[in-house]
Amino acid sequence: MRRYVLILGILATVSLATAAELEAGHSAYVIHDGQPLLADKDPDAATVAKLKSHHEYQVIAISGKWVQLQAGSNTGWVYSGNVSRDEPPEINTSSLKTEASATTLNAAARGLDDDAKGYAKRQGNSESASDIEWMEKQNDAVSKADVKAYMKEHKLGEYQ
Amino acid sequence: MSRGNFLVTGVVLLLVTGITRAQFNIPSIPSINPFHPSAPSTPSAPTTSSINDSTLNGVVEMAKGATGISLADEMKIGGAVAVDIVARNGGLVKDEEINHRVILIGKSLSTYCARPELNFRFAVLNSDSINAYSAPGGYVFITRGLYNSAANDQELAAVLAHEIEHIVKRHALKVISRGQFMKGLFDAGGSITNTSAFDSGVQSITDTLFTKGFDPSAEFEADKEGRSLAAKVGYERSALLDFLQQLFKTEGDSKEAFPTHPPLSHRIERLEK
Repeated sequence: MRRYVLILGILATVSLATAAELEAGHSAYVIHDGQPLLADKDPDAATVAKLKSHHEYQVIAISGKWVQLQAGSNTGWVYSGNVSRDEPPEINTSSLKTEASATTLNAAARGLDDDAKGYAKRQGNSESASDIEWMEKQNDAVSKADVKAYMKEHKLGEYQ
Repeated sequence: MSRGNFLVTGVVLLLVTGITRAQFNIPSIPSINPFHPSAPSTPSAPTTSSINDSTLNGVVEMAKGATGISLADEMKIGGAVAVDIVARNGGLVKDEEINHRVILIGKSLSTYCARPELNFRFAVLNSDSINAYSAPGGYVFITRGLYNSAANDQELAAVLAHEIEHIVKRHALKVISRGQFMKGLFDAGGSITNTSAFDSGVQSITDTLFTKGFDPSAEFEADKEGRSLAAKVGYERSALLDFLQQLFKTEGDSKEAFPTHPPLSHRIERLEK
Protein backbone atom coordinates (compact mmCIF):
# COMPACT_ATOMS: atom_id res chain seq x y z
CA MET A 1 0.00 0.00 0.00
CA ARG A 2 2.92 2.34 0.80
CA ARG A 3 3.93 2.06 -2.84
CA TYR A 4 0.58 3.53 -3.95
CA VAL A 5 0.75 6.32 -1.36
CA LEU A 6 4.19 7.15 -2.76
CA ILE A 7 2.89 7.12 -6.36
CA LEU A 8 0.00 9.38 -5.39
CA GLY A 9 2.42 11.70 -3.60
CA ILE A 10 4.62 11.94 -6.69
CA LEU A 11 1.58 12.58 -8.87
CA ALA A 12 0.31 15.29 -6.54
CA THR A 13 3.73 16.96 -6.60
CA VAL A 14 3.89 16.79 -10.41
CA SER A 15 0.35 18.15 -10.60
CA LEU A 16 1.08 21.08 -8.31
CA ALA A 17 4.34 21.90 -10.08
CA THR A 18 2.68 21.90 -13.50
CA ALA A 19 -0.31 23.89 -12.38
CA ALA A 20 1.79 26.53 -10.65
CA GLU A 21 1.78 30.08 -11.90
CA LEU A 22 4.85 31.76 -13.28
CA GLU A 23 7.35 32.09 -10.49
CA ALA A 24 10.85 33.50 -10.05
CA GLY A 25 13.47 30.78 -10.30
CA HIS A 26 11.29 28.59 -12.55
CA SER A 27 11.49 28.22 -16.30
CA ALA A 28 9.04 29.63 -18.85
CA TYR A 29 8.40 29.90 -22.58
CA VAL A 30 7.25 32.75 -24.80
CA ILE A 31 4.25 32.09 -27.07
CA HIS A 32 5.51 34.09 -30.07
CA ASP A 33 8.68 33.21 -31.97
CA GLY A 34 10.78 36.38 -32.13
CA GLN A 35 9.17 37.83 -28.99
CA PRO A 36 11.10 41.02 -28.08
CA LEU A 37 12.84 40.97 -24.70
CA LEU A 38 12.45 44.55 -23.52
CA ALA A 39 14.85 46.69 -21.52
CA ASP A 40 12.04 47.85 -19.26
CA LYS A 41 8.44 47.06 -18.24
CA ASP A 42 7.14 49.17 -21.06
CA PRO A 43 5.92 47.95 -24.47
CA ASP A 44 7.76 50.85 -26.09
CA ALA A 45 11.09 50.09 -24.35
CA ALA A 46 14.16 49.11 -26.38
CA THR A 47 14.50 45.48 -27.47
CA VAL A 48 17.55 43.79 -25.94
CA ALA A 49 17.06 40.38 -27.60
CA LYS A 50 14.57 38.34 -29.65
CA LEU A 51 13.29 35.18 -27.96
CA LYS A 52 12.44 31.78 -29.43
CA SER A 53 9.08 30.14 -28.77
CA HIS A 54 10.35 26.63 -27.98
CA HIS A 55 13.28 27.70 -25.84
CA GLU A 56 13.22 27.50 -22.06
CA TYR A 57 14.04 30.73 -20.23
CA GLN A 58 14.68 31.38 -16.57
CA VAL A 59 12.23 33.64 -14.75
CA ILE A 60 14.24 36.18 -12.75
CA ALA A 61 11.41 38.20 -11.27
CA ILE A 62 7.74 39.06 -11.63
CA SER A 63 6.49 42.61 -11.30
CA GLY A 64 2.75 43.12 -11.74
CA LYS A 65 1.87 41.88 -15.23
CA TRP A 66 5.49 41.77 -16.37
CA VAL A 67 7.96 38.90 -16.23
CA GLN A 68 11.73 39.37 -16.15
CA LEU A 69 13.52 36.67 -18.13
CA GLN A 70 17.15 35.66 -18.55
CA ALA A 71 18.17 34.93 -22.15
CA GLY A 72 21.84 34.06 -22.31
CA SER A 73 23.70 37.12 -21.14
CA ASN A 74 20.64 39.33 -21.59
CA THR A 75 18.02 40.12 -19.01
CA GLY A 76 14.79 41.86 -19.89
CA TRP A 77 11.02 42.07 -19.56
CA VAL A 78 8.09 40.43 -21.35
CA TYR A 79 4.36 41.05 -20.76
CA SER A 80 2.95 38.05 -18.87
CA GLY A 81 0.31 37.43 -21.55
CA ASN A 82 3.14 36.46 -23.88
CA VAL A 83 4.75 34.05 -21.41
CA SER A 84 3.66 30.52 -20.61
CA ARG A 85 4.77 28.07 -17.98
CA ASP A 86 4.21 25.27 -20.52
CA GLU A 87 5.99 24.84 -23.83
CA PRO A 88 3.70 25.77 -26.75
CA PRO A 89 2.62 22.75 -28.84
CA GLU A 90 4.63 22.01 -31.95
CA ILE A 91 2.96 23.16 -35.15
CA ASN A 92 2.27 20.34 -37.58
CA THR A 93 3.46 21.84 -40.88
CA SER A 94 3.33 18.67 -42.95
CA SER A 95 1.71 18.99 -46.37
CA LEU A 96 2.17 22.76 -46.47
CA LYS A 97 2.65 23.73 -50.08
CA THR A 98 6.11 24.93 -51.07
CA GLU A 99 5.30 28.59 -51.45
CA ALA A 100 3.74 28.73 -48.02
CA SER A 101 6.25 26.67 -46.11
CA ALA A 102 8.66 29.50 -45.42
CA THR A 103 6.71 30.60 -42.39
CA THR A 104 3.65 29.14 -40.80
CA LEU A 105 2.21 32.60 -40.40
CA ASN A 106 2.37 33.10 -44.17
CA ALA A 107 0.65 29.76 -44.58
CA ALA A 108 -2.14 30.84 -42.30
CA ALA A 109 -2.52 34.23 -43.97
CA ARG A 110 -2.95 33.39 -47.61
CA GLY A 111 -6.72 33.81 -47.83
CA LEU A 112 -9.44 31.30 -48.57
CA ASP A 113 -7.81 28.04 -49.61
CA ASP A 114 -8.33 26.87 -53.21
CA ASP A 115 -9.74 23.56 -51.99
CA ALA A 116 -12.23 25.44 -49.82
CA LYS A 117 -13.22 27.45 -52.91
CA GLY A 118 -13.67 24.16 -54.76
CA TYR A 119 -15.88 22.90 -51.94
CA ALA A 120 -17.99 26.08 -52.15
CA LYS A 121 -18.43 25.60 -55.89
CA ARG A 122 -19.46 21.96 -55.52
CA GLN A 123 -22.04 22.98 -52.88
CA GLY A 124 -23.36 25.85 -55.01
CA ASN A 125 -22.06 28.37 -52.44
CA SER A 126 -19.68 30.43 -54.54
CA GLU A 127 -21.36 33.60 -53.27
CA SER A 128 -20.44 32.63 -49.70
CA ALA A 129 -16.86 32.02 -50.82
CA SER A 130 -16.85 35.59 -52.17
CA ASP A 131 -18.15 36.77 -48.79
CA ILE A 132 -15.26 34.99 -47.06
CA GLU A 133 -12.82 36.72 -49.40
CA TRP A 134 -14.43 40.05 -48.48
CA MET A 135 -13.98 39.07 -44.83
CA GLU A 136 -10.30 38.29 -45.47
CA LYS A 137 -9.78 41.71 -47.03
CA GLN A 138 -11.52 43.52 -44.16
CA ASN A 139 -9.31 41.70 -41.66
CA ASP A 140 -6.12 42.21 -43.67
CA ALA A 141 -6.90 45.93 -43.80
CA VAL A 142 -6.58 46.09 -40.01
CA SER A 143 -2.83 46.19 -39.46
CA LYS A 144 -0.83 45.23 -36.38
CA ALA A 145 -0.27 48.96 -35.86
CA ASP A 146 -4.05 49.53 -35.83
CA VAL A 147 -4.48 46.80 -33.20
CA LYS A 148 -1.61 48.24 -31.17
CA ALA A 149 -3.17 51.71 -31.30
CA TYR A 150 -6.56 50.28 -30.26
CA MET A 151 -4.97 48.42 -27.36
CA LYS A 152 -3.09 51.54 -26.27
CA GLU A 153 -6.26 53.62 -26.38
CA HIS A 154 -8.27 51.07 -24.40
CA LYS A 155 -5.40 50.08 -22.06
CA LEU A 156 -5.40 46.44 -23.09
CA GLY A 157 -2.73 43.74 -23.09
CA GLU A 158 0.73 45.10 -22.39
CA TYR A 159 -0.68 48.65 -22.37
CA GLN A 160 -2.69 48.06 -19.17
CA MET B 1 -1.06 -9.25 -9.44
CA SER B 2 -3.93 -9.68 -6.97
CA ARG B 3 -7.33 -8.29 -7.83
CA GLY B 4 -6.96 -5.65 -5.08
CA ASN B 5 -3.61 -4.48 -6.38
CA PHE B 6 -4.96 -4.43 -9.91
CA LEU B 7 -7.86 -2.20 -8.87
CA VAL B 8 -5.60 0.21 -6.96
CA THR B 9 -3.23 0.37 -9.93
CA GLY B 10 -6.22 1.13 -12.15
CA VAL B 11 -7.33 3.99 -9.90
CA VAL B 12 -3.79 5.43 -9.81
CA LEU B 13 -3.49 5.27 -13.59
CA LEU B 14 -6.91 6.83 -14.03
CA LEU B 15 -5.71 9.69 -11.85
CA VAL B 16 -2.60 10.01 -14.04
CA THR B 17 -4.77 10.17 -17.13
CA GLY B 18 -7.09 12.70 -15.53
CA ILE B 19 -4.25 14.91 -14.36
CA THR B 20 -2.53 14.72 -17.73
CA ARG B 21 -5.68 15.77 -19.56
CA ALA B 22 -6.43 18.55 -17.11
CA GLN B 23 -2.92 19.95 -16.98
CA PHE B 24 -2.57 20.21 -20.70
CA ASN B 25 -6.18 21.21 -21.28
CA ILE B 26 -6.87 18.28 -23.55
CA PRO B 27 -10.66 18.26 -23.77
CA SER B 28 -12.68 15.12 -23.63
CA ILE B 29 -13.23 13.34 -26.89
CA PRO B 30 -16.50 14.48 -28.51
CA SER B 31 -19.25 11.98 -27.86
CA ILE B 32 -20.29 11.82 -31.52
CA ASN B 33 -18.02 10.52 -34.21
CA PRO B 34 -19.72 10.93 -37.58
CA PHE B 35 -17.59 8.22 -39.10
CA HIS B 36 -18.43 5.77 -36.34
CA PRO B 37 -21.93 6.74 -35.20
CA SER B 38 -22.28 3.55 -33.24
CA ALA B 39 -19.07 4.09 -31.30
CA PRO B 40 -19.77 4.47 -27.59
CA SER B 41 -19.47 7.99 -26.24
CA THR B 42 -17.74 6.74 -23.12
CA PRO B 43 -14.99 4.17 -23.41
CA SER B 44 -15.71 0.86 -21.72
CA ALA B 45 -13.87 0.04 -18.50
CA PRO B 46 -10.22 0.03 -19.52
CA THR B 47 -7.65 -2.55 -18.70
CA THR B 48 -4.37 -1.55 -17.09
CA SER B 49 -2.56 -1.70 -20.40
CA SER B 50 -5.23 0.29 -22.22
CA ILE B 51 -5.07 3.02 -19.58
CA ASN B 52 -1.31 3.16 -20.06
CA ASP B 53 -1.91 3.42 -23.80
CA SER B 54 -4.43 6.20 -23.37
CA THR B 55 -2.01 8.16 -21.18
CA LEU B 56 0.73 7.72 -23.75
CA ASN B 57 -1.66 8.57 -26.57
CA GLY B 58 -2.67 11.70 -24.70
CA VAL B 59 0.93 12.88 -24.64
CA VAL B 60 1.48 11.96 -28.30
CA GLU B 61 -1.80 13.66 -29.18
CA MET B 62 -0.67 16.81 -27.41
CA ALA B 63 2.65 16.80 -29.25
CA LYS B 64 0.85 16.56 -32.60
CA GLY B 65 -1.52 19.37 -31.79
CA ALA B 66 -4.14 16.95 -30.47
CA THR B 67 -5.58 15.99 -33.86
CA GLY B 68 -2.57 15.22 -36.04
CA ILE B 69 -4.14 17.43 -38.73
CA SER B 70 -1.54 19.78 -40.19
CA LEU B 71 -1.92 23.53 -40.31
CA ALA B 72 -2.36 23.48 -44.10
CA ASP B 73 -5.09 20.84 -43.89
CA GLU B 74 -6.75 22.78 -41.09
CA MET B 75 -6.87 25.84 -43.38
CA LYS B 76 -8.61 23.82 -46.11
CA ILE B 77 -11.15 22.30 -43.75
CA GLY B 78 -11.71 25.58 -41.91
CA GLY B 79 -12.20 27.55 -45.11
CA ALA B 80 -14.84 25.09 -46.30
CA VAL B 81 -16.61 25.11 -42.91
CA ALA B 82 -16.56 28.94 -42.95
CA VAL B 83 -18.24 28.90 -46.37
CA ASP B 84 -21.05 26.75 -44.95
CA ILE B 85 -21.43 28.98 -41.88
CA VAL B 86 -21.85 32.06 -44.08
CA ALA B 87 -24.20 30.24 -46.49
CA ARG B 88 -26.48 29.09 -43.67
CA ASN B 89 -26.67 32.53 -42.01
CA GLY B 90 -27.68 34.83 -44.83
CA GLY B 91 -24.21 36.05 -45.78
CA LEU B 92 -22.20 38.74 -44.02
CA VAL B 93 -23.07 42.17 -42.70
CA LYS B 94 -20.93 44.33 -44.96
CA ASP B 95 -20.85 47.37 -42.74
CA GLU B 96 -17.22 48.42 -42.44
CA GLU B 97 -17.67 50.27 -39.14
CA ILE B 98 -19.28 47.26 -37.45
CA ASN B 99 -16.66 44.92 -38.85
CA HIS B 100 -13.80 47.22 -37.87
CA ARG B 101 -14.98 47.25 -34.25
CA VAL B 102 -15.33 43.46 -34.11
CA ILE B 103 -11.98 42.87 -35.83
CA LEU B 104 -10.09 45.17 -33.43
CA ILE B 105 -11.57 43.46 -30.38
CA GLY B 106 -10.98 40.01 -31.90
CA LYS B 107 -7.39 40.67 -32.90
CA SER B 108 -6.59 42.12 -29.46
CA LEU B 109 -7.71 38.80 -28.00
CA SER B 110 -6.04 36.54 -30.55
CA THR B 111 -2.71 38.31 -30.00
CA TYR B 112 -2.48 36.55 -26.65
CA CYS B 113 -4.09 33.20 -27.47
CA ALA B 114 -2.20 29.91 -27.39
CA ARG B 115 -2.09 29.49 -31.20
CA PRO B 116 -0.28 32.59 -32.47
CA GLU B 117 0.56 30.79 -35.73
CA LEU B 118 -3.02 31.32 -36.88
CA ASN B 119 -4.24 34.44 -38.62
CA PHE B 120 -7.59 34.96 -36.90
CA ARG B 121 -10.36 36.61 -38.92
CA PHE B 122 -13.63 38.01 -37.62
CA ALA B 123 -16.97 38.88 -39.25
CA VAL B 124 -20.65 39.47 -38.51
CA LEU B 125 -23.28 37.15 -40.02
CA ASN B 126 -26.47 38.63 -41.43
CA SER B 127 -28.78 36.75 -39.09
CA ASP B 128 -31.18 37.93 -36.37
CA SER B 129 -30.50 34.89 -34.22
CA ILE B 130 -28.22 35.24 -31.21
CA ASN B 131 -25.33 32.94 -31.93
CA ALA B 132 -21.62 32.68 -32.66
CA TYR B 133 -19.53 30.19 -34.63
CA SER B 134 -15.94 29.34 -35.28
CA ALA B 135 -14.24 27.30 -37.96
CA PRO B 136 -10.80 25.66 -37.86
CA GLY B 137 -7.92 27.78 -39.10
CA GLY B 138 -9.05 30.96 -37.32
CA TYR B 139 -12.47 31.97 -38.68
CA VAL B 140 -14.73 33.56 -36.03
CA PHE B 141 -18.30 34.75 -36.62
CA ILE B 142 -20.98 36.39 -34.52
CA THR B 143 -24.50 37.02 -35.74
CA ARG B 144 -26.03 40.49 -36.14
CA GLY B 145 -28.51 39.50 -33.41
CA LEU B 146 -25.67 38.82 -31.00
CA TYR B 147 -23.82 42.00 -32.02
CA ASN B 148 -26.93 44.03 -31.21
CA SER B 149 -27.52 42.17 -27.92
CA ALA B 150 -24.05 42.81 -26.52
CA ALA B 151 -24.11 45.84 -24.24
CA ASN B 152 -20.49 46.87 -24.83
CA ASP B 153 -17.00 45.88 -26.04
CA GLN B 154 -16.53 43.79 -22.90
CA GLU B 155 -19.42 41.48 -23.79
CA LEU B 156 -18.41 41.24 -27.44
CA ALA B 157 -14.88 40.33 -26.30
CA ALA B 158 -16.28 37.65 -24.01
CA VAL B 159 -18.12 35.93 -26.86
CA LEU B 160 -15.24 36.28 -29.33
CA ALA B 161 -12.82 34.84 -26.75
CA HIS B 162 -15.12 31.81 -26.31
CA GLU B 163 -15.03 31.17 -30.07
CA ILE B 164 -11.25 31.71 -30.26
CA GLU B 165 -10.81 29.03 -27.61
CA HIS B 166 -12.87 26.54 -29.65
CA ILE B 167 -10.26 27.01 -32.39
CA VAL B 168 -7.30 26.95 -30.01
CA LYS B 169 -8.53 23.69 -28.50
CA ARG B 170 -9.34 22.29 -31.98
CA HIS B 171 -12.82 21.26 -30.88
CA ALA B 172 -14.24 21.15 -34.43
CA LEU B 173 -11.29 19.16 -35.79
CA LYS B 174 -11.79 16.57 -33.10
CA VAL B 175 -15.23 15.85 -34.55
CA ILE B 176 -13.54 14.16 -37.47
CA SER B 177 -11.27 11.20 -37.19
CA ARG B 178 -7.92 11.74 -38.80
CA GLY B 179 -7.61 8.03 -39.54
CA GLN B 180 -10.83 8.00 -41.54
CA PHE B 181 -10.85 11.51 -42.89
CA MET B 182 -7.24 12.15 -43.83
CA LYS B 183 -6.11 8.79 -45.16
CA GLY B 184 -5.41 9.11 -48.86
CA LEU B 185 -7.26 12.41 -49.01
CA PHE B 186 -4.34 14.60 -50.01
CA ASP B 187 -1.54 13.99 -52.50
CA ALA B 188 2.12 14.69 -51.77
CA GLY B 189 1.65 18.32 -52.80
CA GLY B 190 -1.18 18.78 -50.30
CA SER B 191 -4.00 18.85 -52.87
CA ILE B 192 -7.26 16.97 -52.33
CA THR B 193 -7.55 13.71 -54.26
CA ASN B 194 -10.90 12.54 -52.90
CA THR B 195 -13.39 15.41 -52.95
CA SER B 196 -16.38 13.38 -51.77
CA ALA B 197 -14.48 12.27 -48.64
CA PHE B 198 -13.38 15.86 -48.02
CA ASP B 199 -16.93 17.19 -48.48
CA SER B 200 -18.31 14.52 -46.18
CA GLY B 201 -15.76 15.38 -43.46
CA VAL B 202 -16.54 19.09 -43.72
CA GLN B 203 -20.26 18.40 -43.52
CA SER B 204 -19.78 16.31 -40.40
CA ILE B 205 -18.30 19.40 -38.75
CA THR B 206 -21.04 21.73 -39.96
CA ASP B 207 -23.64 19.18 -38.90
CA THR B 208 -22.15 19.34 -35.41
CA LEU B 209 -22.07 23.15 -35.48
CA PHE B 210 -25.66 23.57 -36.69
CA THR B 211 -27.49 20.53 -35.34
CA LYS B 212 -25.87 18.58 -32.55
CA GLY B 213 -23.51 21.14 -31.08
CA PHE B 214 -20.19 20.34 -29.47
CA ASP B 215 -19.97 18.09 -26.47
CA PRO B 216 -21.08 20.19 -23.44
CA SER B 217 -17.62 19.72 -21.91
CA ALA B 218 -16.11 21.47 -24.95
CA GLU B 219 -18.52 24.39 -24.48
CA PHE B 220 -17.79 24.68 -20.78
CA GLU B 221 -14.07 24.56 -21.53
CA ALA B 222 -14.44 27.34 -24.13
CA ASP B 223 -16.38 29.41 -21.56
CA LYS B 224 -13.68 28.95 -18.94
CA GLU B 225 -10.66 29.43 -21.20
CA GLY B 226 -12.32 32.27 -23.09
CA ARG B 227 -12.99 34.10 -19.84
CA SER B 228 -9.32 33.67 -18.89
CA LEU B 229 -8.16 34.93 -22.28
CA ALA B 230 -10.42 38.01 -22.10
CA ALA B 231 -9.20 38.77 -18.58
CA LYS B 232 -5.57 38.31 -19.62
CA VAL B 233 -6.05 40.92 -22.34
CA GLY B 234 -7.67 43.32 -19.88
CA TYR B 235 -11.39 42.87 -20.53
CA GLU B 236 -13.69 42.33 -17.58
CA ARG B 237 -13.60 38.78 -16.31
CA SER B 238 -17.30 38.93 -15.47
CA ALA B 239 -18.41 40.03 -18.95
CA LEU B 240 -19.36 36.57 -20.25
CA LEU B 241 -21.38 35.83 -17.14
CA ASP B 242 -23.04 39.27 -17.34
CA PHE B 243 -23.95 38.68 -20.99
CA LEU B 244 -25.36 35.19 -20.42
CA GLN B 245 -27.31 36.33 -17.36
CA GLN B 246 -28.83 39.20 -19.32
CA LEU B 247 -29.81 36.80 -22.13
CA PHE B 248 -31.27 34.36 -19.62
CA LYS B 249 -33.55 37.11 -18.30
CA THR B 250 -35.17 37.51 -21.72
CA GLU B 251 -34.73 34.07 -23.29
CA GLY B 252 -34.55 31.65 -20.36
CA ASP B 253 -33.44 28.20 -21.50
CA SER B 254 -35.66 28.44 -24.58
CA LYS B 255 -32.76 27.76 -26.97
CA GLU B 256 -33.52 30.96 -28.86
CA ALA B 257 -30.04 32.14 -27.95
CA PHE B 258 -27.09 29.81 -28.65
CA PRO B 259 -29.41 26.96 -29.72
CA THR B 260 -26.70 24.33 -30.05
CA HIS B 261 -24.93 25.25 -26.82
CA PRO B 262 -25.74 23.83 -23.38
CA PRO B 263 -28.70 25.61 -21.70
CA LEU B 264 -27.85 29.14 -20.57
CA SER B 265 -28.63 28.23 -16.96
CA HIS B 266 -26.01 25.44 -17.05
CA ARG B 267 -23.36 27.76 -18.47
CA ILE B 268 -24.20 30.45 -15.92
CA GLU B 269 -24.03 27.94 -13.09
CA ARG B 270 -20.55 26.80 -14.20
CA LEU B 271 -19.27 30.36 -14.54
CA GLU B 272 -20.61 31.33 -11.11
CA LYS B 273 -18.58 28.57 -9.41
